[in-house]
Amino acid sequence: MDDNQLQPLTRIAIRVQAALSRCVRNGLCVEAFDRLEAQFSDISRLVRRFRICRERGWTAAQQNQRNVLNLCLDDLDDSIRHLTSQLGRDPIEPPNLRSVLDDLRETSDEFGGLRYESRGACLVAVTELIVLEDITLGQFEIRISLDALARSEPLDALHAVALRPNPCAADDAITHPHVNKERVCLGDATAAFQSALQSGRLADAFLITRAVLTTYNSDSPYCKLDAWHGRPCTDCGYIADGDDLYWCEGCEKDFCDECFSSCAACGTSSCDGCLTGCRLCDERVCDDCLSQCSTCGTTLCNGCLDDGLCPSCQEARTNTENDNDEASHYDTGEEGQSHQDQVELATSAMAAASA
Amino acid sequence: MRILFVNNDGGGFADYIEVADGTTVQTLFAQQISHGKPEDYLIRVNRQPVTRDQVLQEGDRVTITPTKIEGAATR
Repeated sequence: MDDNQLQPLTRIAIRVQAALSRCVRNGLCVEAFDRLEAQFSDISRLVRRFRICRERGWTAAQQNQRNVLNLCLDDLDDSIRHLTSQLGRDPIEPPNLRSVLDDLRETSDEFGGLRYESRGACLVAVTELIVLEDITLGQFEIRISLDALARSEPLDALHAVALRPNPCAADDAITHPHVNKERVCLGDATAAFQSALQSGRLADAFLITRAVLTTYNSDSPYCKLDAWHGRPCTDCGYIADGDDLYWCEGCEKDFCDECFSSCAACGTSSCDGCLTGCRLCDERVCDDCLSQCSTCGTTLCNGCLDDGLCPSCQEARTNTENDNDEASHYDTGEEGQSHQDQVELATSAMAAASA
Repeated sequence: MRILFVNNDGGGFADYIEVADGTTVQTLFAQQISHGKPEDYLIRVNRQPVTRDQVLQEGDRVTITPTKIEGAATR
């Protein structure tokens, strides 16, 4: 049959079947073979080292290599069992052309059309308009790459492209709560999607992807819908709606409630970065509530300074004053009399005695 | 009788199963998807939408796909 006489969908089906055939051939045991080869290489290297250590009498190093070798041999044992199990399974037959064609027709019926793009070798179907929690995300192209499929990389084969993007305000690569840089995080659908694609059930793969795109999982999005038009916290990056962000007057930036606090001394609102912990009491205070000890220069909160002195310097000053007081008290003798008074009294007494 | 049953719920399943003669789509759904409601799924027999009371035939291909599946965000 002349190629020009084939229906377009049939031509696509031929390409798809070829890709699926390569997928089956590539997928079977290749990963297990690669792993086995890498392990043999590691073990060869370890054996060489072990021999060197033994020849040179490096007992401790020899024991170390021996331990590592034991672990590698255990892993090798597991790999051999796994490969044996795979080889023992019935070979997977790729779907026949008829089956592939039926799949493509089903996809076209479900999505109102299906096209093939030779650049990138992609099958493309377009979803309906997607609106999640009153946010219009638009239509998405679900693109499945036949090249990635042939390489047995089902998750790499899938992309979702927003036709009229309404991305998250904080990152325009996030066009859907579960789509980042056109990569769909399938979550609960991952296993089913991989199974569908590896079995050649393309219609199922498209339908599963659409089911993810039309569902919002608020527990694990790239960006929550209630913060879709929000801004990121300057500190932790959490994206929050404008009403849930706090403005720091100190550094003039936005912060979420986890990264926003207040001065323990004066209560002024501030981000954590603009507060400093007092070295004595550990309270976090603003710059206005911090001062330096006038003697030693230690920076403490105003509550820990007494008359401008830190407790150590305050204590030292108190001790000095006490010492001075004691010394002054010893010099006067009787209470209240100064030394000069005593001299004058003695002089008067002597004068009287002479007279 | 033997049918091809494809369940795209959970981890995915696609294999031939035995069902009793006269089994309807509704009965099969109730047997295989005990936790779900039919209106939350796309149910196709031989790639076509069908009514719940359609009786399955030998060799039918039955596919059940959820219409809502929770995605996630890889970090």
